[in-house]
Amino acid sequence: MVVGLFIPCYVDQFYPDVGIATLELLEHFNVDVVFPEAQTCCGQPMANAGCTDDAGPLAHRFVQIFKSYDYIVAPSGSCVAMVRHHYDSYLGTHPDFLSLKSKTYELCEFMVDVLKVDALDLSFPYRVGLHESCHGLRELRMGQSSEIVGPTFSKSRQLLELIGGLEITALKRPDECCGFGGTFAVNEEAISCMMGLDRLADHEQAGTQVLTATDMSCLMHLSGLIKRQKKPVHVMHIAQILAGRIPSE
Amino acid sequence: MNQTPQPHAVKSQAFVENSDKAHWHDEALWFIREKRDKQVHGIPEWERLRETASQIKGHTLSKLDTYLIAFEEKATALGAHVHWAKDGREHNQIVYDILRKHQVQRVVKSKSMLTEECHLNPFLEKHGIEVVDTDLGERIVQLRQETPSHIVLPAIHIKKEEVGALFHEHLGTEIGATDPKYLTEAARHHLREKFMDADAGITGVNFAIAETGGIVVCTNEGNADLGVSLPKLHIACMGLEKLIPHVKDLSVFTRLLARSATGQPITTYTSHFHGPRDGGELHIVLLDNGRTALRQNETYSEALNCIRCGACMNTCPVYRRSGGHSYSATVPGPIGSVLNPMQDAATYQSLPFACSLCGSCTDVCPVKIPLHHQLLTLRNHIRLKGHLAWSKKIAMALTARVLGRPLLFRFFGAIARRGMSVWPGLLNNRFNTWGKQRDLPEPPAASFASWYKKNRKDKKV
Amino acid sequence: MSSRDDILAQLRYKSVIEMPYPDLNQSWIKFADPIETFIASVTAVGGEVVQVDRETNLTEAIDLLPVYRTAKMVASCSTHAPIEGGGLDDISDPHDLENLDVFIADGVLGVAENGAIWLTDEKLPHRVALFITQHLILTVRRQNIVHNMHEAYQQINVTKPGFGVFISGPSKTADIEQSLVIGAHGARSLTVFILDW
Repeated sequence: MVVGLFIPCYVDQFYPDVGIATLELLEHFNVDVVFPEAQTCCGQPMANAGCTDDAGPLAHRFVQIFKSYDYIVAPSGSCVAMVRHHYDSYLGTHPDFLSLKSKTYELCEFMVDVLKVDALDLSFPYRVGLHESCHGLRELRMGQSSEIVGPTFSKSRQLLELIGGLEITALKRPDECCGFGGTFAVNEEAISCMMGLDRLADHEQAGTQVLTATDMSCLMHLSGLIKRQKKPVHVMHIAQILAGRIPSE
Repeated sequence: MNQTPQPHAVKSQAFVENSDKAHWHDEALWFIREKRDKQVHGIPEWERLRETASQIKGHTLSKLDTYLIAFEEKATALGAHVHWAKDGREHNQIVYDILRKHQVQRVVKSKSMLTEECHLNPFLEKHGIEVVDTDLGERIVQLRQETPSHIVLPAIHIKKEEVGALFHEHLGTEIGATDPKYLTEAARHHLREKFMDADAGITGVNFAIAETGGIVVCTNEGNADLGVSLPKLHIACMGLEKLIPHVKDLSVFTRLLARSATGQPITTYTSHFHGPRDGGELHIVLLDNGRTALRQNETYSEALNCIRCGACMNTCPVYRRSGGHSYSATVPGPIGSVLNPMQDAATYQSLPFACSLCGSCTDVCPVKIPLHHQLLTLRNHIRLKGHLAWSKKIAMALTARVLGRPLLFRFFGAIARRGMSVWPGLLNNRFNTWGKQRDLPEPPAASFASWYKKNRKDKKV
Repeated sequence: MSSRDDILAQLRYKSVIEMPYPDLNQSWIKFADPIETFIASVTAVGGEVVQVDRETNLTEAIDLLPVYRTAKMVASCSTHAPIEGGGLDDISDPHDLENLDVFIADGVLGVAENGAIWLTDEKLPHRVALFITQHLILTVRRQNIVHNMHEAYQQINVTKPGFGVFISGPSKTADIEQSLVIGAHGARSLTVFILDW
């Protein structure tokens, strides 16, 4: 099995360690991983802004670049949701699209559903606040959203629970949106920041020391608020925790 | 609407500025969401109920003409009068003509978002008819000369001190009184008089049954029933989409409605009207006003499933923090952000962007409208109608060109990172909206791609 | 072309794919003890429940209710608890019920999942009595308590007579800062008598 590593555009440019951690993590489980260098972006920012004509060509590029891999894995729920749920209008009848859809995974999904990871030899003695990013939760159904009546589950939480000494904090609102929302973060800046600050207040009352999520976009927004407020909360992408990194001082 | 209202982003910013009030509003609505959760998690078959309701609505809408004719036939046979209005203006004229014929001077009205949609009150008042909204929350906003800010909880944005002041001015309650019991009691007496003196009662319709020609009205306060059981004339106003095929379908919808809306197992009163009462008259006004057009649009027609429960508003993190008035529309929140732009893209172009695409609305909707997907697609619809700002279109087009070419992408990415580390002031200034309350990420020296090239250079693509 | 013709033409103009009507014969919630659940539901929505096992106990129990003792104007359309001279047949104008303090009526059935009681205006000359009264007393037979709304709608007749209502608890509102106030415009209290015969 060869996995094509799909790194979100802004992770490539601004958070390369998340990509490196993802790669190292997959390699640790003996996965043959390749990063196709021709990739750039899944087109979500364009689609998000209503510019579907601009997103279309990027969707086509994506299929061309990734179609030959057995799996495509990305450390991002929203980018994977873009491919699995929102590429239909651009690629509906494309011969390679159907199989591409079924083999594109977010990292935690891949680890739980394909690699079936049930043990991690790690120690992370911190109180971790898990932010359930909306796309991963309500689009990819990586976990049960609090609105839905059904059995409780969460693939990201499941993996964190395998780590020694790690305590997941109890939030008042377990899956409320952080307020990033793509272009929303700038278009509705006031609401976006109020939402983010409210999430941080929830984490504060819960005793979170390290804030984590499957999406770096949420964390970029929350981290921006944390730094401006000079709060002592560390921010780490879940790939970094699972790859054995510890919070930097 | 004569002028284009201010965009949602402008109004929401003003709302957030009063941080205490914004948090109070947010907590109040979250509390209702929690009550909803408590109720629904006690119904193991909840998701099946939602799916069944969604299918009933989908089926009904696909055969709407057949069901409307059946409804009209049955209702007429029971002695009701059925009227058809293609838009708000015609609706108001029909209602006025009925009232005028009966020489009505005083009307009591129970909650009907449809009558708000048509701006019925000002129309009737212009013709010298007194209209009193009898839901406590509706009466409060009426006295304040405001519009409701939520379709179920119209006064959710108003504090009890404000109600106290309002009632002191209009009902003669004690100055400074804020006890909700005391204020409600005062409203009870005041509105009792109105019920007693009314010449006609107007209600909305929660569900209309095609099989029997009956209508169902759900309330907690008892005001709809008082309003139509005292005066002899009952006018019921409904949107075409309120139709359901059979009586048994009510079992599904009565289980979903109040649980979704307020976290109650059912409304206090669920009244079923089949024909007028003895010696009375019942008029049912059916309104189109864009509903038939929406039905023909495959992408958005599911929005007609809506049973006006307000659950999407209660859960929406944006609505909770911006308030219903920020949407400048009769029906605000997620469902309003689909319905209003579909009706009038120019006026309501900002609404689909007042959304972080979190998807919570879709998950609480009792009739499974894929709201957050519709809101995303609507953005494209608005662009196609020519309402996207030029600057945005250009920015997106340029960004897409850069992202389409890996070399360009890496080049500009490197420049951005270099620029940010050498000259942070370039971006941390008042023109940078991101930077108002947030720091920008620390720019790393190298991208992932260049790390990969160096450290895994023997890997073949 | 009338608006009716217009609207129907619009609906028929572009055919919409017909979606099938779902099967409502599914398994819906059932309770181990529906009577107990009914009582809990009525209580949760602000009503009071009293169980009585014979007719004399019913009239005695009603006599003891504080709202009944202090009432100046009472009326009953109940066959189990009639009031001498307290029927509504002599009243020609519903407005004359303005000062009604207590009204007693018989429910047809009760629903465990939400504490609702179905009744119609079959034996009720003025339906307004149910809403204008300050305090409402309803009876329901124990054997007529069903689990859920699906069972309820299977058993009741909504078309005859022309008015029927599910009443769940006393009237209420939370329109002032989400503070629940019992007794909005309708009854300030609801007492439900479960008849065990």
